[in-house]
Amino acid sequence: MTVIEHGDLSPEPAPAVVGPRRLLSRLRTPQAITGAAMLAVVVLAGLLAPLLAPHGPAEVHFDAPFQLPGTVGYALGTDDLGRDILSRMMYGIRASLMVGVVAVGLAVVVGTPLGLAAGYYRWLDAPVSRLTDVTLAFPFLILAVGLAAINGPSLSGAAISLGIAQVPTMVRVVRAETMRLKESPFVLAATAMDASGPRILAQHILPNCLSAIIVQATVIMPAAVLGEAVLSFLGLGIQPPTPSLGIMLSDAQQYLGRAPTAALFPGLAIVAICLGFNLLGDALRDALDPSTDRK
Amino acid sequence: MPQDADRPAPLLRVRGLEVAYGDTPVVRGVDLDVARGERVAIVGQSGSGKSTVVAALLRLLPGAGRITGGTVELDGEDLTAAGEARMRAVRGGRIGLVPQDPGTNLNPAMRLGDQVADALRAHGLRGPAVRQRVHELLEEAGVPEPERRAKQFPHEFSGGMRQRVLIAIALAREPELLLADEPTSALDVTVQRRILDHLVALAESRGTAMILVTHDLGLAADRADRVIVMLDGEVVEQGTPEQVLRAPQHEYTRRLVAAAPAVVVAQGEAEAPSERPGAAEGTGADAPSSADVVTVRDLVKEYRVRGRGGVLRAVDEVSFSVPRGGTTALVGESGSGKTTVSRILLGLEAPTSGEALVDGRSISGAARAERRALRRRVQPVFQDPYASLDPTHTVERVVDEPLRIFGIGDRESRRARVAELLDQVALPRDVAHRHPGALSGGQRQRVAIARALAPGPELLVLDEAVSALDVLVQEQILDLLADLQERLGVSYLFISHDLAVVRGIADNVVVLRQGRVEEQGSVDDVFHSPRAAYTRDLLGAIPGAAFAR
Repeated sequence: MTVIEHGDLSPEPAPAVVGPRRLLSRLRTPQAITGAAMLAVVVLAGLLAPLLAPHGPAEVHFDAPFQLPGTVGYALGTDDLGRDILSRMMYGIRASLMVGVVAVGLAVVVGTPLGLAAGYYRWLDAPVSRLTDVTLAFPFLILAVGLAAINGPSLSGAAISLGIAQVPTMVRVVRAETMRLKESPFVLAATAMDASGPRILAQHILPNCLSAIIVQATVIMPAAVLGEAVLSFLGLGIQPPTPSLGIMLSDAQQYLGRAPTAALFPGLAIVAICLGFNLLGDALRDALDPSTDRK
Repeated sequence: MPQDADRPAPLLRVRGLEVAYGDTPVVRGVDLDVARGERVAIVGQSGSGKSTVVAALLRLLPGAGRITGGTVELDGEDLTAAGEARMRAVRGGRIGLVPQDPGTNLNPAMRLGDQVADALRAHGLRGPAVRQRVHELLEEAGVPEPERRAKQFPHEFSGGMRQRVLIAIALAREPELLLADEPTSALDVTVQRRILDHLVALAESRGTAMILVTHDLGLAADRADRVIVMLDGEVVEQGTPEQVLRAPQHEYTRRLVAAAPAVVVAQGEAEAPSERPGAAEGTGADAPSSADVVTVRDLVKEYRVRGRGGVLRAVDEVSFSVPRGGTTALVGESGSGKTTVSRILLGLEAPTSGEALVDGRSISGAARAERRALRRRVQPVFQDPYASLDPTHTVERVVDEPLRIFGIGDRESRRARVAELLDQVALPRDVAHRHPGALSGGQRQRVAIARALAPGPELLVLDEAVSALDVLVQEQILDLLADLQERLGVSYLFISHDLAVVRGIADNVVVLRQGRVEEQGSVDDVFHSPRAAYTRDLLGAIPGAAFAR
């Protein structure tokens, strides 16, 4: 035991790392709440589509084409084949979110280790960076066309090509964080206690990269949803009659003059998803950064 | 009592100033008078509200800060009630500011002359007179060849030169009051002294009043007519430097005076030189004995300079040793190579030639297993307590990590060892489950010391380990280190830019300058009879030294 007095005289208020509980309280901003609410509505509609949708997604009603929104039985109207737009939208959101989740998962699972390795091991930096440069130079459309040519156009093909297209951005974010953290004293201290590279990466660098990864995921998600809409619009993604937001837009384009609402609602859904993730992502980035303390 | 009696109305008169950030009051009822031409120093540790007072005078409080009470009168005009347009005229015009960090307060993309000219144009000066005046101001501030250097960019200037430019900008509009917020704490000690001398002389010749904000009591005493001590947002003491240093009234001031390094130097000289274990032996590097933990011989580290194909010798034939159970201090300003030496010793970098041996063996040349064994004997403590602990780990995990890596003990015995280590560094055991973010700077540094001690090292490399801490906390950590050395027999390589701090802890001192050893010897030799002119320069630059005698 010791005789030295406990603690210090000046417990200066330290800018703490943002823990989970503080994060929630810091997320209570109008921006974050708006984003979360938009996403909650959209995601619930997608998840619960089989339970809530009044009609099947491909159910045709030849007796009721081009119904206007508000018609009894068809809350948002019907398309040229009398399919219920609300039901198709709910299933479409499901497909779009699935593509987004797979793409984000792929980007995180592939991009994070590559970024960690490139940032930490100097000799790996050049090859990995060149590879990401090359991937970035490829438009994801070309990649999707290639994959579709091999496998036939499908949801999984679209998701994979969108995911691959997003890997480089994740690599870059994680690599930059790793290079910064690698020089921090706590990593030097770990090196001085003979911690191995993988140990330092797993114990020290990855946990400190997490907030950057989460924020980047909220950027990739809407990009993938938009990408899916583009691919499906072009016929390279999900195949009709399975609905997706992109397919609905593509179909609606043929009779845009007669029934503009058939394009309006899936368009709004895409906007809601993208805006929701962007708002939430911005708020998360601010909330996770201890230096942006605002009262 | 120069501030009493028949003085005319003061230039600046602050009464009952209250400032809050959000709902947290940080300045509480501060009264402050500054007469024309007077120099007042505000002293306090971080969080004392001293910088907030300065920001409040200029009405430049950051973020959610606002003045919640009191008055600030400049020549009878209440600035707390003045409109924003009026304040713009006051800032720079009547009150000049010399900011703290010369690294970030200049626009890196703008020529320095233009930045000074900006201040003049804001004053309404136009035409060729501006350029003329810019050169005059730079020259007065001590920038040589002002015509040529005005065309340069900030990155072409050293820290000291940049601070001179900031001084030129602050003085550009001939303010009546100059606010200097830690104007030199980002600079090396010898540069610090030159800049401060210059600043004070300039203010004096112009009759400009000055408020000097600093954490350094010695520095304040050297340059001010009156010293104000702040603690927790309140003024706890004020008086002439004589009064404050020689007869401090408030408890806090007494402790501050006791902890001021320069005063410690003076006291140390008054007493008989203390005998410490290992103090006498083992400085000569050419005669390594088993009494030395560390032997550094002819160490050279060269870096290739990008682009120019040149080579920078960061460490140039450095030799010294650390006695077992004793402390060797490595002292030097930025660029002296002291940190490079420590990194080589820790095996974080390889030397170009020469050797840095721990117990006769070198980490950088060792095979894997041997390197591991050596690293267990040498552990670092770094400068910045905020960056040296992983923010995502709990204190227990931080201290436990070296035990796990070196495979010491099982889960139960490791837990007991962590508790023991926390006791040793005088931290309550319940911090074990907290994250570093919930601890103060001093507490964090204790955790870093506990982590370094965990594997039972023979040598701690303390790289500026107390430089980022407030004076009083600094003193506590130094006490702790001395106490640990006595009980555990651990040796220290103590790296610092501050000669004054070294006095209390080291047995031997090695003075480095631009990678070379300028002087080395026992603490008493170096402090009492310094041989190198540079050492004398460093000693003379210790703030308050002259005063304490």
